[in-house]
Amino acid sequence: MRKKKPSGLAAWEEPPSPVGQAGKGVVLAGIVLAVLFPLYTIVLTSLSSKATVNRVGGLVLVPDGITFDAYIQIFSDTVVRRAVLVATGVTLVGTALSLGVSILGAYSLARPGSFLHRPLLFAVLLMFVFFPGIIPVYLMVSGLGLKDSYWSLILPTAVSAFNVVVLRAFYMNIPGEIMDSARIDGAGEFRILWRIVLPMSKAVTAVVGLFYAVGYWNAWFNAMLYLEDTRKWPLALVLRQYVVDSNPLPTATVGVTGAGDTPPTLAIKMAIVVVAVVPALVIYPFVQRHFTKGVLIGAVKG
Amino acid sequence: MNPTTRRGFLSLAGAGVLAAATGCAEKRGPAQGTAVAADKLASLVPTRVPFEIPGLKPDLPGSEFVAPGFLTRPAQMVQAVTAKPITSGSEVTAMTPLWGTVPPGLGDNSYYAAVNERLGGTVRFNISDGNTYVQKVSTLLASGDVPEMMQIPGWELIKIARFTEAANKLFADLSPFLAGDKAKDFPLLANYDTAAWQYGVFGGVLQGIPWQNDPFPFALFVRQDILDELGLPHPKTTDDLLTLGKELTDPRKKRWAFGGVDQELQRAFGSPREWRKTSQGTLVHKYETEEFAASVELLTKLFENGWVHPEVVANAFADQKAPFGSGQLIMMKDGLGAWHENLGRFLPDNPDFNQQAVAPFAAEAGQAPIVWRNEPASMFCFIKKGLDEARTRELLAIADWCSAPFGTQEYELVNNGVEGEHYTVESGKVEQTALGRKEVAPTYMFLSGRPPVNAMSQYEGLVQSLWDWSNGAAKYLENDPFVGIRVETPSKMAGLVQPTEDKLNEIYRGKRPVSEWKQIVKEWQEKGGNEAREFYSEVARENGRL
Amino acid sequence: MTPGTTATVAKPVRRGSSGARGKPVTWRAKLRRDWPLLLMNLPMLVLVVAFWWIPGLGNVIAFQDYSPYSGGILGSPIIGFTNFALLFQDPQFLRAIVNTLSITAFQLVFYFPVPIMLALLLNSVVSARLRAFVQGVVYMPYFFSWVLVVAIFQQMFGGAGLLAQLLRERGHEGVDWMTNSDTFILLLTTQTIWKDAGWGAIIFLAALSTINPSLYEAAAVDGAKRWRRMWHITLPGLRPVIVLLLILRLGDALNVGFEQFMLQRSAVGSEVSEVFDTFVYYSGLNTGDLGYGAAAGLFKGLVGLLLIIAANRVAHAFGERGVYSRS
Repeated sequence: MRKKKPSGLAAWEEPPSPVGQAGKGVVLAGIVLAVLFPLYTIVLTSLSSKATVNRVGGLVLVPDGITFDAYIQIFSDTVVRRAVLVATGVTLVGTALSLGVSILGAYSLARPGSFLHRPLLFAVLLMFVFFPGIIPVYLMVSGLGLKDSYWSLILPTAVSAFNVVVLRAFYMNIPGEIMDSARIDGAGEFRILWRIVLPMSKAVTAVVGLFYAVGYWNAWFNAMLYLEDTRKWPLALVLRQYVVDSNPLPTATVGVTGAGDTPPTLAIKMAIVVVAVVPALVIYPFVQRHFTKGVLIGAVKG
Repeated sequence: MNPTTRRGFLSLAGAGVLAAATGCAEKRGPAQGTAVAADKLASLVPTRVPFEIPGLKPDLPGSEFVAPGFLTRPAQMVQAVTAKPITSGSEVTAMTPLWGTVPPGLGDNSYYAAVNERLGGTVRFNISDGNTYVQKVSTLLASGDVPEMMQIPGWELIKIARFTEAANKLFADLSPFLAGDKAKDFPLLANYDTAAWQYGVFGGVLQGIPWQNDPFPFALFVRQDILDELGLPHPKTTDDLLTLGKELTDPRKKRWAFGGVDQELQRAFGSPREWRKTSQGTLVHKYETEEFAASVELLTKLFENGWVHPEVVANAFADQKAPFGSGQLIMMKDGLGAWHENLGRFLPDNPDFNQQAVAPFAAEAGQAPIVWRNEPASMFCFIKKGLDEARTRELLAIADWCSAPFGTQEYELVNNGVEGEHYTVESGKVEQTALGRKEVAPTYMFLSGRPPVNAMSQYEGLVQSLWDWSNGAAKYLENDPFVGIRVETPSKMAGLVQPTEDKLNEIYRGKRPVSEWKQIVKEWQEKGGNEAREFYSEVARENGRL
Repeated sequence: MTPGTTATVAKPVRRGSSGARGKPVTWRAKLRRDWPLLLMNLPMLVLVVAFWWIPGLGNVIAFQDYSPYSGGILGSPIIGFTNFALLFQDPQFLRAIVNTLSITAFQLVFYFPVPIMLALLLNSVVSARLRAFVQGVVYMPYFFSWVLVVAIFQQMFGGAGLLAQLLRERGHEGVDWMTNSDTFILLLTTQTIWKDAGWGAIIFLAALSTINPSLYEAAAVDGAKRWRRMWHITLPGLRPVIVLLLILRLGDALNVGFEQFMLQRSAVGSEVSEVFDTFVYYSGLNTGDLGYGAAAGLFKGLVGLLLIIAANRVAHAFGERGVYSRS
């Protein structure tokens, strides 16, 4: 029976030294401040009125006239709302597909000596080294009839060599005896993967899943290149349109009237930044559960 | 000797392969420039027939370089086109860039519905992010995959290698439909200035429907309210800038005198915009002139003294409008459109905001200043090659319709939407509604062009000030040796622009000494400048300009 | 017998090339035995071949005088290694390589360990709540675009920024870190740490969680204090992941970024901010030569490959499996 020390220490851990605690505290405080302070200005700017932003001419430091206008404007935009749905769909489907394909692929490559192991492994490893150009990939996507399709947002980037290599490394670290004994018991590879390897690799599955999910959520390049219907635009691309400022018409002509006239203010741009960060903030705690201290990789009888 | 042994033979063969593989073969080299002589040009483009709108008379008359000014909004808008352009019933695919918020797509957008109704058919827009537009366009061009109508800004197509080749291969020749009197079928296209049409010629073929520019590339704008507060006048000589720099800059108050003013200084000292004919009958490039060197010296001083806004120091392409609006930056050069843009953006929250343009001045008092001519057109709409004649006519008819000028119903529809739904008119001012802000985006307007008009009467005093300024500037327009000739820059010279500008920016910021400028010019000459000079001189000679 | 551990490199089961009684296993036998693995590999293989390797063939234009409009791939003349020769004659290219490699080296020393240290620090925080809070905060900047990150740094450390204002208020001269070309590498690394270290720590946190806690317990019982436990258990436990990421990072040696450099190019000058990808971008603008760009890309890949192979060998020498093994 483990005696539970109230502060969350394990039975065998010594209580931390006050100097150590203080030191850690200082460092942590510094880190948190370094991130939170700019974040504070971003959030504050997103909540500031246009007048305040114009007056300050940059990010706002001192609150002056808090308003939710920026957020209201973004969320009442039906294009944005639809884009959230698109992004969610693409992220869910994409992550599931990528994870599935990557796990299977990584497991199949975790057996040196198996049939065609080397060439198949190098097919993935060399992805780090040689890149196809944009135009050939475009031609492939177009040739497969995927232009202007949601699949063009998923398939071309479904496999990340980095993620596959990471999964493979974790799988290869699982002691062979466990799988050997399963094999002797007559289990096939699929069974072993499903019953033994996956439960033991929750942490890395969570991490890779997170990496893929974030990748899909933030991806805009494929959408920019392949989509033709603005109703299929994912959130990342729509939000980019708000953050325009680097290239308005250079010899902006006198006679142009219309919607594009007043570029979105800094408040809206910052609101968009906040909106982009929030989903990750929301998902992360769920993922993080899988790497809390002391999660066993699995029952291994000593 | 005789490679009779297997080993010997193989080694010979190997050597042969290696030689072939590593042999330095000749490459084709960058794209050469093209030029079309003035007389030939005339035969390619429409004959200008100004479009008269009955009853529409500007309050401030226009002239060759001055856009007509309207102090009030006309009460009635005329219908310019009666026949609906789209007759075939098939959908039109069009690709345009967008800088700004995305409008709802076809089917969810009453603005599109309204315009399509007037057009008699459906235009399906493939809207693309303006900031990454060049990437998408290059990819589409290289893949040969273009929609029926495609707009490409001029500043993007110079970034696309061998654009002229691509254009000639993928886009339709419009001369059979528009040259000379043929353009009578498209009266609103014939309304464009001839110089603008000439700019739509690529590689000797008329391909682009041009978006006509203001005649003046930029103006020096100032925060008049702040100048008034401090009792400071507009600069009249380049030395005045030194005084203004000192008086205006106060970092403690978060105020710096200057934003980006490089080209304004070059102009003030009298540097040509690009090439100038010398008294010896040769061509000299701006980089090579004494005047340009003088501007480099002065601008470096401005930076050195800390009179330039730090964000501009950090990034030559920083957004200057925001600091300008908040009074952190007092003087900046920008395109004329920035005038009304800034007013729209800053006036509502700051009623004291007052932006004025400085009358063009020269380096010394008493000297006549020069004003640069702008390129006649800055964006182009292309039509896909290979469509049948009827379809091409239909697409041109759409462009024609969209080109309806100020004072017409079509213009209002394209720019503002449907009155009552997308905008309302309050005491002569156009107010966009929430629906208008959502749905109306520059789309149809990019498929066209038109002579510029000075009609932002909703901003008090703007129309008059702009008209006054334009009249003043028009007097000093410099004569460019290539006016009326369509020249496309050789890529080698175009390729030298960025590195040279980079080095200039470094000199200004003190990362390279001013004395290095001469060396940089020499490098420019050797790396392609001299070659370019030969090309341009040739063109000028052929046209009797040299 | 010690419980399953990640403190030593576990040996995966080798699919032997010799079967029972030492007879070499034929490929037919291997196929019969391993077909489920092949099946598992198939979806990934199809995607990779379709969207990477087949388009990757397009890199052949590196050896051609390629024009998409007059010739295409089949019609453009083959010019051998001319593009590569041209690359090496370009002084800007050599400048870019030098900059890129020095930035990579600097960041390897000053950036690479930071996510690891961060993960160790977080791991040692006792309160679960505090740990979760800090973790959540520290990875947020990863989601900011470089445009935003540079803008934030500009607001803090630029000539009109917070730091400069504070100094001026106290009567000192303002400073402008953003335009200082001598300290540019330091600025870059600080920006990268601020933006990416939190996110980078995630993978190490996951790795830390796979270390069996009974190892700690056993060590503690044996009298090892915190630091000794870290040295003997934690770090060795992280070693495989660290080595893996290190090798992959080396394979990426010529990749230090693009946007981050473009945004600050005019502030510090191209002399210090020209890196491989900005060079390719600008030379692409100048000549528009896709073949030239492809040649640069292949060069980058080759350097990366050589580095991976070398680093992997070194890893083997230290007893680590690395990214791939001889076995």
